Amino acid sequence: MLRIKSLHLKDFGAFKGEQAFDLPDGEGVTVFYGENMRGKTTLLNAFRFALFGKIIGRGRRPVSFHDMINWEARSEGARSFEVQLNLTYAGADYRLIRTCRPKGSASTPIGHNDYVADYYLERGGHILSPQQAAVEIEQILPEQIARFFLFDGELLQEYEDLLHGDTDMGPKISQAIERILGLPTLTKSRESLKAALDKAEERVAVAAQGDQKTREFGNQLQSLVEEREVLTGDLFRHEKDLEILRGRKVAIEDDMRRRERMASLLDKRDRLAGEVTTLEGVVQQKKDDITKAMSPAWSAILRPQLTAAVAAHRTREADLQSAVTRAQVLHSLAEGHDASCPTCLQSVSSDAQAKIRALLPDVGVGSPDADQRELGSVRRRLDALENQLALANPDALRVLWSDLEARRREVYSKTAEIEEIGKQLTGDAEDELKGLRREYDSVVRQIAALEDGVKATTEKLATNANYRDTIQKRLDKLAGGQMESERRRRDLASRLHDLFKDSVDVYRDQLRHRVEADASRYFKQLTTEQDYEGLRINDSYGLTIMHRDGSDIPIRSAGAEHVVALSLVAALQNNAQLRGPIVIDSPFGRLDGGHRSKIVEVLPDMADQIILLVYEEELPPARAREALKGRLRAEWALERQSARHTELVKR
Amino acid sequence: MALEKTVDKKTIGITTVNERVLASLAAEGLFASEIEAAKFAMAHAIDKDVTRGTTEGAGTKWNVGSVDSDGALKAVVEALFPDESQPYRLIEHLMNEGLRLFANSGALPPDVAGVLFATKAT
Amino acid sequence: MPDEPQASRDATVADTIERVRLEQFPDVDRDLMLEILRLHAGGIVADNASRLVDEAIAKRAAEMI
Repeated sequence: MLRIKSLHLKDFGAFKGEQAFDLPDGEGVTVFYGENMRGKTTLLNAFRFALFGKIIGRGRRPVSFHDMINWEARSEGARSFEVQLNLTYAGADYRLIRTCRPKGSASTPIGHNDYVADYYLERGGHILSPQQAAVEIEQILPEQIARFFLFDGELLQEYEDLLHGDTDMGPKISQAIERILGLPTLTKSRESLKAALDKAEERVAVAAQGDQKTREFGNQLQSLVEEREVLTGDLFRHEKDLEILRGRKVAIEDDMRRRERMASLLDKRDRLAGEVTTLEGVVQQKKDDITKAMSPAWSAILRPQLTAAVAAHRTREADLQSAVTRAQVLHSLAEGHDASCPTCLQSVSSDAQAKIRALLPDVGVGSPDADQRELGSVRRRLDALENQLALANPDALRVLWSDLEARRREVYSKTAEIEEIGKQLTGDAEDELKGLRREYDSVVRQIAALEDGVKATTEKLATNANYRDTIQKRLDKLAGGQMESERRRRDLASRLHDLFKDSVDVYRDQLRHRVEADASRYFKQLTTEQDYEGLRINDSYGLTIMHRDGSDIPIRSAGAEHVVALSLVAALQNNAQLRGPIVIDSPFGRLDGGHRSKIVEVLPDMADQIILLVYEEELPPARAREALKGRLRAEWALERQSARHTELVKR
Repeated sequence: MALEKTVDKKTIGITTVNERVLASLAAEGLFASEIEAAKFAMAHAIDKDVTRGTTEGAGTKWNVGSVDSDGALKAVVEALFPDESQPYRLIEHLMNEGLRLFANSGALPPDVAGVLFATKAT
Repeated sequence: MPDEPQASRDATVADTIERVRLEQFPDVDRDLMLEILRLHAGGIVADNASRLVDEAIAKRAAEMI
């Protein structure tokens, strides 16, 4: 019988400084009232920490030790926290003190891994050795079944494992349940008998070897026995390794969950980095395109001027052209090559010709030659201008440049984001996380390989057993003096083994039915639904609700899970080898008023010591006093001193 | 107008002061070469109606054949400034004046895109 | 360590196994069965338990001649 006497806290969570509460002797309920965020869950965690060195937060996430030190105290220099649990178990007084402090190497602790938690256990005033302490804590409250005693209404996820028995945790929980239900006496006996049986068989083999008639069989049997030894050893090692690896896997998962945020930041950063690399390639491509296009950029700037020049030159060209043509005509008229005017076809007199000759300059400006030359150069310039104009495309250039600018901005903003993330990733965090992931993958692979190994070895053992059986039968047919007594021993061991083996099954079944009956009884008391008949438990302690008409109701809603989990906890308590206190945080979860009343009524029957952690709206003090009457033994309040300082005050 | 046979420059140079601006312009504007950047500076000077003249102490950086292999530059400058008797001298001057404009507009690097975008459509 | 619920738990275990013995294994000696149970009470197994079990069986087997 486990009873809690008192709990002492030092700078633990919201509880600054040294604070404590004690529980009254005898049966009854102690209620702690506190608003949300005041530290109710922390009290539950205080028990967890004292017993197992663990602190659990939302979503089953482990909480970093660094964040558990009372923040006000920490800002005043505190670097550690401590929980002391005084309890009685099996008639002895125990004192368990667990302290969390910075590791020697950490000068400025900033994260969970900079801390270490040590504990020691006293029994009757004597400090126990670490090994002994570990054994006794495991006896007082095995970690696997702690959830049946430290019940957190918010952490219903914990109970999902229970209610849907096909998860990884399922078998462990079944084992835990069976352990508190007293099955180990039988199972351990069975194991011892198996060992005895194996040894007896071996002796038969040796005896058979001693007799000429049976020597051949004896030899075969002996080598099979030896093979079995080897295989059993292998299996034992495999399973030990598997246990360690599975523990490691869970620890890594806890660690990774703690670093979830870090992991998603890392992923985001890697994704951004990839995008930046792609973008940089695009930027380079665009730069190359621009370089090609910038060749005629100078003329793009001068487009207006070029256009104007082209217009001016065209005008000049036209003028010059007509001047040149007119001069040609007049010259030919003046020279008398053609005595008639090409235009009007009238003949031109020699007087007229002389006059014309006087008008025309021979050389220089205005002369036909000069005009001709100028026309030529004007045409050449026009060509050049028009060529250049064709190449000048400021619009195209503008598009290219603004496109480049846009891409560059993208690169800047993504790079800035990467830098921001970089600031949030603490130094080694990334390497650690990568290391963790690698280790996780490796552990998963190793587990798979080991499981294969276990399967293979188990099969070999079965084959080995078959052969041994066959030979045993043959040996039994041959009588022999020496072998006789060994055979008798073996037969007796075999019968004993079968007896215990069958008894294990019978007892287990019995237990399950008893637990099922008790859980059903509690469930009927707690549920408000008239049509629910009770609960059914399957082989792995998975639960379903039974309707009056005999059909199964799969448990779906959080509310239903809540009530069912409470029922199971109560039933296990009733049947447990270990009877202890139940500490319940948020007993009502999201349950409605009807269920709440029921729970308050039924609670005192569930265990001798009940600790309830509630807020006043959830369970008004007046209501609690009225419903519990004499069984309400004490009331405490979690009173706010500041945002980060709560005081335990007895009412 | 008398056609004077004057001797035009055979080389084009950049003043020491302008060298830095030219290098910066070539990099910033993603030009394939400093020659192209220099042409751009020249065009900028023309666009800003820089006074014609001569740039002293420009030294020798390129010969004219490298700068204007197809004669397009000369043709355009002659077209825009028909009375100019020494187009390459003018080109050299405009290049250096253009670079000075870039230098004076503020700190390096020169705002190439800005110049492009400021250009009137047609 | 004497533990009340433990004793009552084991009593139920003993009841169960005795029932099975009567029904299916009447040839198995009751005292021997109880001795083995005692050696494993509470699920705690002493280091020399297997040897003790072995000896108990040997003793009984010899008596059976």
